[in-house]
Amino acid sequence: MEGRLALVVTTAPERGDFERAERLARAARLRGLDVDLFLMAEAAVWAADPRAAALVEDGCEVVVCGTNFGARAPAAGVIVGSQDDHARMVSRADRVVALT
Amino acid sequence: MKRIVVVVLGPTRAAEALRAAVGLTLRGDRVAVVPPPIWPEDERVARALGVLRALGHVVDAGLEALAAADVVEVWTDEVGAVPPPPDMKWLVRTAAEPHAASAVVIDDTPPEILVDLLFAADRVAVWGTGVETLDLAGEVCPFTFVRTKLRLEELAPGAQLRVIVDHEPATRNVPRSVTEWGQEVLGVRAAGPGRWEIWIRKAVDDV
Repeated sequence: MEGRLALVVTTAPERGDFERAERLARAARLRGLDVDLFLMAEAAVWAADPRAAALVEDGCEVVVCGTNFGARAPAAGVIVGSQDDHARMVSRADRVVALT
Repeated sequence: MKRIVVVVLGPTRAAEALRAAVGLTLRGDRVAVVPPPIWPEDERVARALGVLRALGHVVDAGLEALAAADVVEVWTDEVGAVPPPPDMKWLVRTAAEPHAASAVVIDDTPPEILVDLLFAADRVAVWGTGVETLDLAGEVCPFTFVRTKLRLEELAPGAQLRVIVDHEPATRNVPRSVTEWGQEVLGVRAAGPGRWEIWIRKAVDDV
């Protein structure tokens, strides 16, 4: 299976959307898809979590909005980026799932 | 060029939703914003709306814009339920959320099947929960206060409540009391002949 899936997560951790995106990302990688994950707003906290690093290890590109993330240290491989990354990921994706 | 629709279901997260909407214009895609019933009084919201307008994007789209959308971001509020329009293959997070029988419940679907569904459908999007509504039409003082207070007690801090009243004095008295309880009144607006909406955000737990 070919294609690119973009996942956008912006909600507070209590909503469980990072976990939903995580499950989808792993399943998509198993299908051979490219996966991008953009984190912003209340979900930016996940960028410091080892689970975000694990997704990078699994071949996903994980970017957090720097405006939300601030000066914290991101987990390994997670990119502190910008809204331009949000636009880039959405623009190039074959499918976008926004948990916003 | 993609057609991206950003749905802002409520005012609480409007500033971030619009920041995302402005960001989504950066790669040449077209953005249309479906606004909430009331925009919050927020300088960031006003600035973002101004930028989107200046760039030629739509900031007052209706839900019919979803029918032509390539990408949808539905920016939710924490509570309540607004059923999604039928023009798309909708996903919802949990079975408890309002959804059509044809919708896919993310939490009830194995992720590998979900991936296949996502790529097999023409267009997909995730719907979200909206704003809790308390319809007090027909109620007068003091029942408007009592029922508003009881509902607020049920909500988590940060949650929103839209109270509908048809007793005109309630449009002044309920917001005044709500403010005295330490809660935030986001706005009051007419909602048809003889009906008004009072938008409240629960700011403190002790109502």
